[in-house]
Amino acid sequence: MPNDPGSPDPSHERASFLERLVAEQRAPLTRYAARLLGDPDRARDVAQDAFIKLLLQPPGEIDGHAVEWLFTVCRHRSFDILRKEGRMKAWENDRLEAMAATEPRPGHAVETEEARAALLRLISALPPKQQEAVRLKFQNGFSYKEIARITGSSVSAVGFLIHTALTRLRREWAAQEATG
Amino acid sequence: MNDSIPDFAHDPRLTAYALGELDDAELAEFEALVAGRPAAAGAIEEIRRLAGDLEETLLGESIAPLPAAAIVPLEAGRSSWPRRIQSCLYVASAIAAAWAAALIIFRSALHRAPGVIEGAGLIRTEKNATGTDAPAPSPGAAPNAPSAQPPTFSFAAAAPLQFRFAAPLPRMRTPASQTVLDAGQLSADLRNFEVVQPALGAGAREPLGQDLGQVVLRFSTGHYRDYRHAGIFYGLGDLSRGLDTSPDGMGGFKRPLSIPARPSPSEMANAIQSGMDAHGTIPGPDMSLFDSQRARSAAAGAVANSWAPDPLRVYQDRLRELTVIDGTEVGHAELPGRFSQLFQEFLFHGDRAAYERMMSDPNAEVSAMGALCLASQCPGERARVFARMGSDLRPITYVRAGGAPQPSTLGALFRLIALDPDYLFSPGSASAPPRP
Repeated sequence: MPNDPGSPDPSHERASFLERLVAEQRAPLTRYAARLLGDPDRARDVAQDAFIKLLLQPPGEIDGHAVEWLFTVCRHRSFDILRKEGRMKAWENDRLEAMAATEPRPGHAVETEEARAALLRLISALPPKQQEAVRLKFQNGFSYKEIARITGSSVSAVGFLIHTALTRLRREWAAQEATG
Repeated sequence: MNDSIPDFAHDPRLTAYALGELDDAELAEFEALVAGRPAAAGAIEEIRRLAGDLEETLLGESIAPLPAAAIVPLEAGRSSWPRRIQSCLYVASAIAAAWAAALIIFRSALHRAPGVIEGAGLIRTEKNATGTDAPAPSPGAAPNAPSAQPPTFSFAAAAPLQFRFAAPLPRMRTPASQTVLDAGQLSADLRNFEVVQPALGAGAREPLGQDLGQVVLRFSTGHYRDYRHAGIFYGLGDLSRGLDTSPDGMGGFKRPLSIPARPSPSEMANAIQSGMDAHGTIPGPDMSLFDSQRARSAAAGAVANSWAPDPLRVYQDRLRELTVIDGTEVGHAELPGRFSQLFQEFLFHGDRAAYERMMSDPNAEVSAMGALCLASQCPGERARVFARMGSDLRPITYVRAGGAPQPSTLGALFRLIALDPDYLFSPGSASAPPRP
């Protein structure tokens, strides 16, 4: 094969880093964009665009916060699309239609799956901004500070969004468990 | 001390505390506030439990599954004839449209007195029953009746351009109606088909600057299923080498091609075929090859990913047979920096010297044209070819919905062809392709 492992390749480390980043973050990034856009296909495009942009970044410029950077780019790109399609106002007004939660994974106990599906439904019914913050926090594992940077808001605003969302989820979750 | 929950219910610090999001100062203050309040402690515990549930639920969540029709087990790809046929039917109109446009262009040139293209005289000929070239009827003559054998165009031109199709255009299904060209259509000529040069915005570098970086030709349709079929994440191919499936069900299925350093057409054929045989799917490009022959592997990947019945013909015959691509997939070519400048000089400025220098790279032009070729046949709604210039990634062409390529796409192809017909169309440039 033409690839010569013995020859020094200054870009090898970066390539490995990027490769790893793609492997780890492609799905979360796509999922995030899909929730913003409500369109998995477009979300994949958006995620890809984010990675392409990452490729264009000079090495070192995003070290230490590449994941956060990817999500930020992904968010901006998604909002560009929403704006173009006239759906941004709905987002800003927290009136974006709830995106249907997808089917849970197969192979788990029915009860567990039902519970998960129910929780997903509750999450999906949250206002978009709350939903985004909740997903970034619990699905993507970002801190409040990171979420604030990604969403361009303040840490306290993120805290408020997540607190409000969890308060509502706790209330509705408890009600469901009581009736279920 | 008041132990009522409502004191905390509206305090975001309650949730932040439970999730470990308070900084040191806030933490001390809040812990002092919470101390001795069992109800608060209970609420915190409840939040943490919910957080655990949320993490577990959301981490296991998949994005919307692909439509059933779009999911084809990659392992079954080669034997999945109904879907392949469906795919072929799907793109048939696009291919026909592309060829119709191509035909119009060429015939337009042929019918203009006497077929002058940039100073080159053109004579159209058709292969007669003995296989020799016979002069075509004059422009005023009746249009040709459709024949069983596709027409052959021979450009017996004055210097400097000498066009000649070495072989009949294969798979060119020209309906009878297309042989009767509308006079209005004949007004088109090659010069109407210009490559769209991207406007350079702030921050972008001049295309002919010294430090160009790379040119990336990227093809995207948004029809993800096609990429899934092809087993490659377009645009990420250079990153996702070896990737298999991912939890969200959108995993690629990429296998490296084993390509010799300078493959002959038959070696290339064997490499792709063995990849297909070994993995039961059409392999994506192994971008690890890019260091030494990135363009070749990209071309191989672009071609292999085209879901073409005989994708090799494009490579073998150096794009003489544009219609062999039946797919809708990706052409992704990341070209060496040296090549990128030459390519742009050639593509945007028609610099033949640049093209000749570019031609010294036996790999690159195949890749570039492969990507353009694929793009030209894209039936998707959002097909785009991007040029990465410096730090910017800009579209250089666009294929509109419905499968009809915009002129710029064909223009790019035709300009490529026009600028180096000797290479593209000379009989000795490649072995004759196998007939279907």
